[in-house]
Amino acid sequence: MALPGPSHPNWEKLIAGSISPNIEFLGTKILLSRLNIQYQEDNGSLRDCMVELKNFFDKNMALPKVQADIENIFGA
Amino acid sequence: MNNKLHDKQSVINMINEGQNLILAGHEDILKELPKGSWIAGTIPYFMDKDGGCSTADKIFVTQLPECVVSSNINAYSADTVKNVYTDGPNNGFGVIIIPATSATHASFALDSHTYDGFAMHPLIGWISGVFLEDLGKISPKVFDGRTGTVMEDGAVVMNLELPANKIADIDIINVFQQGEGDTITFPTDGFSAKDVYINGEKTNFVDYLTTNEIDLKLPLVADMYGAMINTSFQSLNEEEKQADLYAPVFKGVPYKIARPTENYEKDFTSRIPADANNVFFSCNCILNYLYAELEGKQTGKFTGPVTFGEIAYQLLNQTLAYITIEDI
Repeated sequence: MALPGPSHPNWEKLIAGSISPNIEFLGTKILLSRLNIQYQEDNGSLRDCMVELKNFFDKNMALPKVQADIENIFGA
Repeated sequence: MNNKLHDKQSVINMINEGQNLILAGHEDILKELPKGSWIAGTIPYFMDKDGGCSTADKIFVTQLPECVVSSNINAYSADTVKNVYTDGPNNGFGVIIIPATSATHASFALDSHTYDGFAMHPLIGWISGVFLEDLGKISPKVFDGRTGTVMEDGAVVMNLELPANKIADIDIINVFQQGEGDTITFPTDGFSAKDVYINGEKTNFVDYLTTNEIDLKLPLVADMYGAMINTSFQSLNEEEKQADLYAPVFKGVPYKIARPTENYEKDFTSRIPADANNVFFSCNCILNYLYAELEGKQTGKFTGPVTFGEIAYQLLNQTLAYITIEDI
């Protein structure tokens, strides 16, 4: 599935840790953990976190595990 | 892949043929290699096809698969290693080696997650080491084969560009899971800890570990969106009331002591994913080698150096890290 736009509520929920979808790709897990800590320390960093996560997904979109992660995060 | 231990002359022949190689071996034997397109780190412990072993007389060789389009080698200092992600290939991955206990090791361990472009391409690798009896006497090192430069501090990286129909995928095998015990958080990032928070209550960490008779062979485990990330205990400094660790803990991350593992081989085998084919490179931790008594035991297709730290995007501990190359 295509990445949703920045207005999709699951971007913030994911980075804030208020949803816990099944994540398969190690890179996604590690990056999300870092973004979550960054967001907890500074809620104003949300937009930067979203941009970084979107760039990460764009870069790794060819991996089946990443496609599964995107489906699990935004498909529900 | 044909990654395994070779004698010195075989490695010299491969280098002289112009092969691009990622090497692991004792410092003395690595120093005898000719210049060429290779990087290396010092370590005398290996998981070979026949099982775990230690030797100063052979070199573990990782040969590049034919699908690799191009490769290049970069060397970094503690000040420049922050560029490791932005220097990476467009479609491919990097293999990094850093000497244990160096300033670069500390920098990467504490700050890699803040580097520009963090995790934007796969980065796998390891922390070099020495015979355990040489700890404190001989420093771990890395080698830049292009120039024959030997570094006690710094990092070497081989970046590999893949064709458009291939993609690299890093993963880990960790036999440890979080236990059911207390939640431990740390007030600061670091390789040591004095006062920590146990279920939110400030407590001296050494007192807590001693009073509760915690087995220090069991690492602290953080659950990072499903990835179990270990931090292993090095020692307890009773005078300073400080616990020293082999990898940093991070402020704000909840940790738990790992659940004990009864049979490493069995637990390890049960965690090997069915689709873990085309393993290009793997490395396993010296603590797993020691605590699980892996000498003479096999870990299947996961052969490689036994290391003083594993890198899968960031520094890991007491973990097997591996990378596969997949068709897309």
